Formats: sequence, C-alpha cells, structure tokens
Amino acid sequence: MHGMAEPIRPRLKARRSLLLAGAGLSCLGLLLLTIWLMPVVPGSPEQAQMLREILIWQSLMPRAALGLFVGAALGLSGALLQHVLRNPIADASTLGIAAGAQLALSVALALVPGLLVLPREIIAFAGGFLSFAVVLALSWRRQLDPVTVVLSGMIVTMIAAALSVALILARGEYVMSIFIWGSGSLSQQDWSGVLSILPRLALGGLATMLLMRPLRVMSLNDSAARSLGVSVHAIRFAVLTLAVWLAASVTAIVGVIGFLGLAAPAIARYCGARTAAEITSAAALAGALLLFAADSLMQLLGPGFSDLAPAGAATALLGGPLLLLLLPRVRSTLGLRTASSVPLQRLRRPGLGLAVLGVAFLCIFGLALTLGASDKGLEMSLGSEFADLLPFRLPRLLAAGGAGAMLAAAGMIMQRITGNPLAGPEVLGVSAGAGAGLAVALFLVAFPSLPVMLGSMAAGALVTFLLMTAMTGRSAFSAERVLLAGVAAGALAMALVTLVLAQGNMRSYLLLLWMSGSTNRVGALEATFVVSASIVLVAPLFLLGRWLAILPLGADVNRGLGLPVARARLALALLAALLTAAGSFAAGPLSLTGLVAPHLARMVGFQRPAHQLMAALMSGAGLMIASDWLSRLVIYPYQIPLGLFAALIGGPYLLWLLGRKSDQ
Amino acid sequence: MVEQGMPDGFLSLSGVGFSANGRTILSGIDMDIQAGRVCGLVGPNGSGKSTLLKIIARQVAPTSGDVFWSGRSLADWSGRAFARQVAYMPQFTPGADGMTVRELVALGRFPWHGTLGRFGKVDRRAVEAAIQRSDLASFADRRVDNMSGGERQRAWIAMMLAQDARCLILDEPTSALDLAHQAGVLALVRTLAEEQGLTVIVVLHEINLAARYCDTIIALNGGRVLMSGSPREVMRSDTLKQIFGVDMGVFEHPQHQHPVCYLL
Repeated sequence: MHGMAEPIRPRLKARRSLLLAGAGLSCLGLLLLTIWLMPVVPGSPEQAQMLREILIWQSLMPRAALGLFVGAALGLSGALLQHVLRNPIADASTLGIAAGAQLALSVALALVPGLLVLPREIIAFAGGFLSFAVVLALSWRRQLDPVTVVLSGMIVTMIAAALSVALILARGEYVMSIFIWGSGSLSQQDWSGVLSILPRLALGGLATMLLMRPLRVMSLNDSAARSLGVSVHAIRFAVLTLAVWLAASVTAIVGVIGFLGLAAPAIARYCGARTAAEITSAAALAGALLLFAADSLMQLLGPGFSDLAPAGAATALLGGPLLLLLLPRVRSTLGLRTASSVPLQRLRRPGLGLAVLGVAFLCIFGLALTLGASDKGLEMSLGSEFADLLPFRLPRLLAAGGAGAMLAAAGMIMQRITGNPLAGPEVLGVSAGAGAGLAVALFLVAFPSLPVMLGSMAAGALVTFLLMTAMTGRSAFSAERVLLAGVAAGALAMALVTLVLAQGNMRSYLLLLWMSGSTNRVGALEATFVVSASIVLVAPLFLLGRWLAILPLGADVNRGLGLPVARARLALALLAALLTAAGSFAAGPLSLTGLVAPHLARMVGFQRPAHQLMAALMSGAGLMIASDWLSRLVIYPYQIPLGLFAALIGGPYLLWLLGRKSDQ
Repeated sequence: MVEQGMPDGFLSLSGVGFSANGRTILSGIDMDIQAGRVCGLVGPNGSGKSTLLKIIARQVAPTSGDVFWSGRSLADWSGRAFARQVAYMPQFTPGADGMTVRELVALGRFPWHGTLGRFGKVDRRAVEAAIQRSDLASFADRRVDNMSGGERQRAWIAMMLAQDARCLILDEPTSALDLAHQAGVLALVRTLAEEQGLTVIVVLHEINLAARYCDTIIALNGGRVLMSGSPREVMRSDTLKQIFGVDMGVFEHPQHQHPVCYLL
C-alpha cells in the first residue's frame, strides 16, 4: 500500500486481464448452468414455458444482478475502510457496522415500528455509524492500532448480535424469518432490490472517483499527507461516512453479508493492485464476482433448487480463515505491547476475601431464589409460596450457577495455559467450536442424545482450543493478536452454526435455543446434570494447582522443573474442553463468563491458583445466577435468555479492559 | 536415588549435532565436563552456544549424538528425576505475574514433591535456605514483577537453588543487567558453586566476565568447539582472533591475576 507508483510490467498486466477474463467467464458459465439446471415447472407446456420465463426474468436475473451490485458495493466499502484506516483487516463485518445496522433495524422493527416510516437505509446507517463510532472511540487511545480496532469491532459485533437476538426472542414472533433475513439471503421476486442498490452503488463509485486524489495522498502517513495540503480529518471523515453508508444500505436491502469487504480488497491486492484507484476498482470487481459465485454455488448445491444457505452465511465462512491468514501481515502501529499490563494486586488475607465472597454469593443465591417480579412489582416469596415456586426457580438457578462455575474454571485454565490474561472460552472461539460440534452432530444425527451432543461439543471445543494453543506456542503473537485469532476462529465456527441455523427446521430451533443460552426449560434433570458435571470436572483442578502455577511461566521453565509439559497441557485442555462444552450447553456460547470471572478474581487480588480458582468459581456462579435473576426481571413478563443477558454484562467488561490498558 | 555420588563421567557429550530447517547449527561436539566446576560457554553470535546449552539441559533433543549425565543417556531420564539433578534458567525469564519471591522459589520444589505430593518440612526448609543464600530475605514477600532486573535474576537463581540440583545451567543470566548487577549475579553464582560444590554451566556474552568467574571456558564457533581450557589457556591473542574474528590483546588483571582482553 505504498503510494510510490512504479510502471506495471506488461506481463503482470496481461496476467491480470487474463485472470479477470477467466473469472468473468466462469461467472457467466455459472449463470447459464443455473438457468439450464432449473427444474421444469409442472403443467401444460405453454404454461410451464411462461412460468419459466417469469422465474428467469423476475427471480433469477434480478438475483444475479443483485449479487453483482451488492458485492461491488461491499468490496468498495471494504477497500475504502481499509485505505483510510490503514488497516488491511477492516471491513463492515469486522468493524461492527453491519451488526450495528442490523441491530438498529431490529430495534425499529420490534420496539418502535413508528420509525419504519423513515427509509430503512437511514435507520441502518444510523445504527452502523453509531456502532462504528463506538469502535473508534474504544481504540482511539491506542492510536487506532489495526488489531485493537478490529478486536473492538468484533466484540461490538458480538454484543450487537446478542442484543438483536434478545430483541427478536423477546418479541417472540417471526424468530426464524428475521434470523434468515439477517444472514443475508439474495432471493428476489422482482427488480426492486436491484433498483434500490444500483443508484447507491453508482453514487458511491462517483464519490470515490471524486475523492481519488486525496485518497492517493492518504496512502502516505498523516503528517506527510497534511504537509501536501490534504485536510486529513475531513477527507477521512467523508470517506468513512461513504463506506459506512454503502455497507448500511446493503444491510438494509439484503441483510448481513459477512466479511465480503474483507475478502475483496485482499483478492485485489493479491492480484497485484497497488494504488488507491486500482485497489478500489479491483476490490469492487472482486466483490461482485465473489458474491455472485458464492450465491450461484449455494443455489446449485442446494437440494431441489432451494438454497443450501443464504449467500451471506456462505461468505461468512471466508471471514475466519481470511483473518487468520492476514493477521501475521498486519503491522501494529504500537510496536510490541502485551495485554498483561493490567495492574495486579495481592490481597493480604485471601482467606478472608474468599469468606466475604462466599457470603456475597449466598446472598445473591438467596435473593434470586426468593425475590421475583409480579404484576404488583417486586415481591418477596416466603413460606408456602416459596415452597410452591421452588421447583421452578431452583433448577434454573442451579443450572445457571453450575454453568457459570464451569465456564469460569475453563477460562482460568485457558488463561493459565496461554499466559494470556484475556483468554477465555468465548474469546478464543472455544465455545463457538463447541457450537460447531453441536451443529455437526445435529447435521449427522437428526435428534442426537445428550451424550452424543455433549461429546461432539467437547470435541469441537478441544479442536479449537488445541489450534489456539498451537498458535500461541509457535509465534510471538501479542496477547491481542491471539485474541483476534480466537475471535476469527469463533467467527468461522459461528458461520458453520449459522449455515445449519438457516435451514429453518427443528435443528435450527435447537441450535438457536442453544445459542441464546436459555434456562427457560431447565428441569430437575438438567439441573442435576449441570451441577454434577461441574463437581466432577472442577474437583480435579484443585489437585492440579501446581500445574496451573507453573504453566504460565512458559515451556522452558516447565521442562526445567520436570513438568511433563505436553501431557499436562493436553490433560488440562481436555478438561477445559469438557468444562466449556458442559458450561455452554447450559448457558450458550456468548456469555463471556469464562473471561470475566477468572480475570475479575485475579484483579481483585487472588493470585495463587487455588485462591483464584475458588474466587473465580464463586464469581462465575454468582454472575450467572444474578444474570438469570435479572433476565427474569428487566422486561417482565418477558424473559431474556440467560446467555445473551450475561453477554451484555461481559461484553462491556471486555471492551473496558481493552480500552483501559492504554492508561498505563 | 541411583544417581548419588558419581566420581567420574559427570556430564559427557559424544558426537552431538543439531540441525533445523536444513541448517546445521551444531556438529560433532564431544566433551566432558567435570563436577564442581564453573564452566563458561562463549562464542560469537550464531555460534550455537545457546543451542548447545539447551541440549545439555534436556530442553531440546539433539538431532545426532547423545548426552550422558552420570553415564545415563538423556532419553533414559524422566523429567522430574532430571530436574532434581539439573536446574535450568532460560535466557528470558518469564514475568511471574503476581507471584511473590517465596512462591516463585517454592516452585523449585516441584521436581521433589510432584503434582500431588505434600509440601512438607523439608521443602519449606529448602525454600527458606535458598532465599537466605541468595540474599533475598528482605524481599521474600515482595512481588517478582515489581523488582528490578538484578533482583529478579536473583529470585530465579533462588528458585534453582530450591531445586537442590547438583548442576545449574544458566543461559546468559546477565544479558539485560547493568555492570554492577552483572558482577553481582555472577559473584553469587560463583560463591554458591564454591560453597555447595555445585557444577555450573553458563553461557556468557562477555568474554572478560567468563575469564573472571569461570574455571573452564569452552569456546564455540560455527557450531564446533574451537577451544576449551582454563581462562589462561583460552585467553590468548591468537585463539581470541580465531574465536571472534577480531584482533585482540590480552593483559593480566593487576589484582586478581586473571587474563583480561581488549580490542586492538
């Protein structure tokens, strides 16, 4: 991305036009193949012929055009974002723009239908811009370091997505249809979608062309651009507004098309585009062809000409691997700085601290058991009423508490093994890996039994975690990079989950229920399972305190002390995977308890493994019980699923941690 | 313990070689190291001294040849049994987040009590003795990550002492320290070796420090042992030129009588 323009060698140019011609021809081929393979409509010959023509001209053709135009708009938007932020992994999905736009649309749809008199695009733009502003504000003090920006963006995306799902579930209606819309389907019945994206794309292209000169100067760094007379802030603001508007318009028309804006400029650069003009135009082209190809493939591969999955869910599969691929090349603007600079203190009397924590935990438990909302407001239920309510309240509180404790223990293991204070089952993608395992199980067996579900979840979690530890062990990645890699792996796993989810059948419902982490249906059986699993799985950890103390010191020291490093890591990883599987089975993949609880315990000053574990278990369980209780209260008589509600507490905590490190 | 009392063959290497990614880092290294001596590994950057140290410390397996501790091949040692005999300190000691000096030193008892064993009276005494001997008594409850570089290095040496090993292996223990702390750390290692009859194998960057504190100097260049002997034998203009590839002069320290070299 250097502004120095050297003449492009003719051979490169020839290769590029050959590549372009090849891609264009194969897209044309895909379109023809789609038309050719279209099933014959039953009925009399002339009627069938008429229907076929209607299908081709009112559904297939507009859909193809829409794919091209939407892809171009997203490619252009991604290229612009990457260029002005000097961040090769920026895109509407990684910066929270798409998720913010979707959240704004969900809010409008579910809570303030009056807002829908406004064009959807304006609502989406407001949401997208707002969440983007939050991301920028969070990473401002870290000088918009690319990794931090994207990490904040992915977390904002997670929170916004959780809020969207919570809203949809709270309203109860149209759950699946809204969800499918959210995952970016390109199906069309007429040309209206095309007619609404086309002028916007044209306007975006025109604006980009007008801004091309300042954009070219912006390839240099800020001070150089400023010395050349470019008002850097104004240009940057204008370009960002343009990019966010393009992405938000797409979200308003077809929903979230994941990571296309990340892939298109990467492809453009890979093919040799270097200057601002080359990259923006090539990215628009690459985005168009990519989305069209993905959508055609989904149509062709789907059974009986129904889509295999929405195109947006299909492109989201690209995001995780691409992020992992691009990450080593992202230059940090901060130099080396690790996330471990959170000030750690030590409690002088950890025993007393644990006792206080225990009392607080019991109070929360008691309060959650007795205090509830009713039509008359908050009400304390004691005596016979208490006995009546107990069978309803106790199991779900036990399940919530057990899940919280297990996730906390898993998070603590991960933080100790990786030596990364911000690790956790959710941020390392391990919970999502468990979800991918569950999705695979649901795909292979229609109605898997509990052991099969748990086993496949544990397997998914273990694979993801081993992958992440391999990455941490191998390279000198900073803590933030490891987190971003984890978030990327999580995004890949979640894209897999979404693919199954988008089928819209009973499996999808099971998955959606799992994703939201609902404790609504927990009965005595589930509660017993969760509590006994947490006891069986957590107990060994108290015996392994010495491993947990030595492991963070790194492989050299571990070997020097005679610790069987590989075996210890594998055993703990297995334990962490089982804990994650069982914990997220009850609380869903989003809760962030596994990050928050052990981290909080450490920050308060419990440093020895046994103390930290006790404190983490109690705060994890307490956090989940409090979340469960609050999730019953805040929108009474409706309920927010526990996992989502906990994510709304954990997400801001993580964002606060990321922002706060810069104070040092 | 089988390994009690070994008169000869304390540590011997035969034909040790190491190559990674098609690049030969060490080749054909044969040597014997006697017990109870302080032995310095020196050589220019990329001469393979750190790799050799890691092979001796059982951190990395050699790609050819073998290392024998007390006559037993490296492969025959279990991790904990080896750690009771040999303590190793890496070049970059990790930040012991939130740990106190005493907790860090207590980790040195792991090879003895293992994962589930009791942390008993013997262990406690060994930890306190190690802290005393490293002059850390007043720091024992301070946090390792708040201490200065020299103090932190002392805390890690105390951890190695608590390990009750017969041999200490240190990889450039002074690389991040100022001159006063470099001398302090090496003097501590030297004293400990003399008081307790420990064997020390240490990689040092600075040849004059090696001459001042070691009994034996082993000089490496290009993955081979170029020279090994007492400081007086190694510290000669011609050998130094061979080792480091620059012209150097040598004179005698006016007080200690050991050789000191300087760039010409």
